[in-house]
Amino acid sequence: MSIQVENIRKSFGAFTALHDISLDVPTNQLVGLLGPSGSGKTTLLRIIAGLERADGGRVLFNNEDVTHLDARRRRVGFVFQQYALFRHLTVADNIAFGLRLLPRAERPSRRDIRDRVRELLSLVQLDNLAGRYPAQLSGGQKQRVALARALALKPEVLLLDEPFGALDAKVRKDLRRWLRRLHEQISVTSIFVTHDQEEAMEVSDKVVVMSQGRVEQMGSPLQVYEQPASRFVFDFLGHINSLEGLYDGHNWRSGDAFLRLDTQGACPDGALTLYLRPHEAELAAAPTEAAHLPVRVAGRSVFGGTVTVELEPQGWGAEVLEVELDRVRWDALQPDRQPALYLLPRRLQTVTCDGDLGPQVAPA
Amino acid sequence: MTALLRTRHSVLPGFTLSFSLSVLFICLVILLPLSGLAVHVSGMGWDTYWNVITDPRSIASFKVTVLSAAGASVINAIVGLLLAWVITRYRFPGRRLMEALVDLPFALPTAVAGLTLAALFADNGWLGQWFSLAGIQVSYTWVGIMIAMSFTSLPFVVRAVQPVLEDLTPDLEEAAATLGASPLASFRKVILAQVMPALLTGTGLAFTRSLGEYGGVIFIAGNLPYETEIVSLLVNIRLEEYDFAAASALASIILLASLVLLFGIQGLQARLVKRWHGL
Amino acid sequence: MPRYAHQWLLIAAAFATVILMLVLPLLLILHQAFAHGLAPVMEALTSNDMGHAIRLTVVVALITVPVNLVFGILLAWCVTRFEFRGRKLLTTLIDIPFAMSPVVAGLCYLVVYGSQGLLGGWLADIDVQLMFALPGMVMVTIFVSCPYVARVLIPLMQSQGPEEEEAAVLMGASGWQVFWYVTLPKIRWALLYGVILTNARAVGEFGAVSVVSGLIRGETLTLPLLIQMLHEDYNTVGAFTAAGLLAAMALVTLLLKTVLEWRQRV
Repeated sequence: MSIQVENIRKSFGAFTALHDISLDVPTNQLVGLLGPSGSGKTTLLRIIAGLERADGGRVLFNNEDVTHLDARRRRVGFVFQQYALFRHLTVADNIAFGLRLLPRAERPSRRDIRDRVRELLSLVQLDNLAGRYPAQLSGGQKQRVALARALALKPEVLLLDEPFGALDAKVRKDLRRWLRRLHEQISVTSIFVTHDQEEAMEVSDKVVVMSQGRVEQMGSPLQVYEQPASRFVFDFLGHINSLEGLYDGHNWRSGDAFLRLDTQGACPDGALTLYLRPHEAELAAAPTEAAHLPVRVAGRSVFGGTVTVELEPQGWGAEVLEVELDRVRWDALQPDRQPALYLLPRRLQTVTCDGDLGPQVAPA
Repeated sequence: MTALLRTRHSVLPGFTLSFSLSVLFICLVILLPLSGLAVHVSGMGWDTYWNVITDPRSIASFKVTVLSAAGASVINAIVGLLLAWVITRYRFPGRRLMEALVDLPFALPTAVAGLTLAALFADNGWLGQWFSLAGIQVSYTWVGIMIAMSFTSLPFVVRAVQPVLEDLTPDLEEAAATLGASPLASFRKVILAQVMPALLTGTGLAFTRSLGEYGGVIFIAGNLPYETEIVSLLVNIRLEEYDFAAASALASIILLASLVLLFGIQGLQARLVKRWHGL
Repeated sequence: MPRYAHQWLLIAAAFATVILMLVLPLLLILHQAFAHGLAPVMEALTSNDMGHAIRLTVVVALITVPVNLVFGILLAWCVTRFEFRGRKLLTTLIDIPFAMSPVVAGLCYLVVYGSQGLLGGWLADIDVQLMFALPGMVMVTIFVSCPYVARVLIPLMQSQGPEEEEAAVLMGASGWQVFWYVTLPKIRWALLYGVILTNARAVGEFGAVSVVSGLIRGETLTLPLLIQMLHEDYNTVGAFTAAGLLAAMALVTLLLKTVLEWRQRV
């Protein structure tokens, strides 16, 4: 079932939570709504579910207007952030809840309900916990029960509010992959809300980046990361180093440092800020003709195959820079024996003085 | 009506039903009788009103009521703090029983409390005989009224202070001790300072309750006009004399006092909640 | 376990207070009631006045508790599940009966519904007598005990949040189904707790009822009012027998309350 959101607006008193949001989610896709807290993503999800009423705009399921349809008739599966499991019911009764409430004509027989519950429990790999109460489950188990309960009525739309928000890091990673695989097994159109970039990138077919009640960008994870549509998106997806200086059409300068950049006229002369992702730079014992950025190592941390280095600019103005280097190459460089070190950016994002994103450039 | 009142949509059912019935109930049960009194009092004219409330017997009853209630509140602040402290801080046999018994004054009908306290503190009573040996007359004096009031409102302070003490972890005291504070100083500076708002709230509630206490008091008070007659009793006496005007005028004074206290305490609480949670 | 002498001293002081202020009065009730043996107690219990007072007290409680139960649930549902202007005001107004002197409460009802009251003339015209009769006693008892259920439910339902109910709605539950299958099971212990408190207050109410009852022997005397009457008649055994009945109710209340508090914590 496809989901369309058209020009949705919503305010709470004086605060506008959503400004004119439009989205298109094709059938059976898994879409991540990504944004910082207060960006309106949960409100949008609740409007799609029918838990909240929009001030204007429409919600369509399979091109059918459901804007005024009661939440109880929308037949969406919804997983709450804190799971909202019925604390007085066992796991099995929680999952069977919706089935038992069906009108007599549609309600499966007792035996069918039992079978369906068993099937769902095995889908979420909790076969032996049917008789437990929610208070006796771990966070990850509650999460999976909540998912099984949401799937019990075979919804064609599944909505998840911060599905991994309350879990610790390790469990999160496992569940993330598991959800991705589960989504491939069952045919359901899913939207989930998250504030975690990694999570959105790993799980979604498509990412919708939101900020202050507006959609900043919608696209595949790769698209959003490689071709950010706005400074916010660039900023929000991972750490950035910001280099500020002056540009004269050929060279960017800041104190003793310079970079030779060909922007093919896209950047005007004057102040020019450059964004550098930590992994898009190299460290060398000598500068090149195109890049002269003297730095000193101020700190390092080794984790797996990557070394995260804090660099202090020498003789030019920038805050401490953070770059991620390959550990083998870092060791080969023998940084402690070098009299001087130079940063060599591979790719930079230009930001013009009015705050717009310019082209991405490499020193040459 | 509901569209006007509701500022947030909720999918949960029953707003109109629960809202309108609740409001109807509050209007009929609480507000109508209150405004009835207000109408009645406002119809009596300022002179009559003033004469009733400045009558020497009325003045004496105000004095007795307020002073006894104040005394009872002080006793309750001290005893309540002690009980709350012992119940939350120490583990000892009989603790659960003690905690359950603290609520007895709320569960025990006030008339039973009054009757029993009167017998307990009578000159030949179990406790009264010791007091009369020491030359203190309890029954038929304001001391008895004060004791009865502190009995009926004892749980307020304990119940207000207890949750705050439970939230205070011992590390605060330990921190104070490592900084060189003596146990008494650390109690005063660290614990009392934190408990103070709850202690004030509890004491305020106890005082409000004591002002209006009736059943607990009249048995032990002796009810001598000008001496041990509380306002609630005087209201009742005026009623029995079919002097509605006097009764209403007197009642309006205690009603006003208790409403001001109630809203004051609630306002204080709301401010404290805001300060604690930084909202 | 306490380690220091001053801690034991504090505990001893607390025990002394509890015994002197709370235990001793309870023992005294038993002592006074049975001062002359069992026979006078049995006589007092089987007297007509006592029987009538017990029945009347039960009737008042039986009407009051369900009314306040329904009201408490409605108010708690309304203020914890919806946001609307005036929400704070409702929760403030509900505390008024706690703060008011019961005698003043009784007077307020008398002023409105009594024969000289605002509605008195009209009530007399249609030949309805509320005051100095059962209806008036029930009305003031409802007044003094109406906050308990709501006061117990509101913080609980606030902390439980509306998500479970929302989840039920999304699974197709109707209003009654949400309440019956989701909300009620979650609040049943608190509800019982509220009922017990309401009941204790309804049974024991003295000041408000004494104003509107008219104190007609054998007609409008509840147990607490009977205590006063017997006390004024110097019938000590009778008064303390009635007091003993109410004290027993109070102790059962405390027991249930403790059990329920313990259950809620688990």
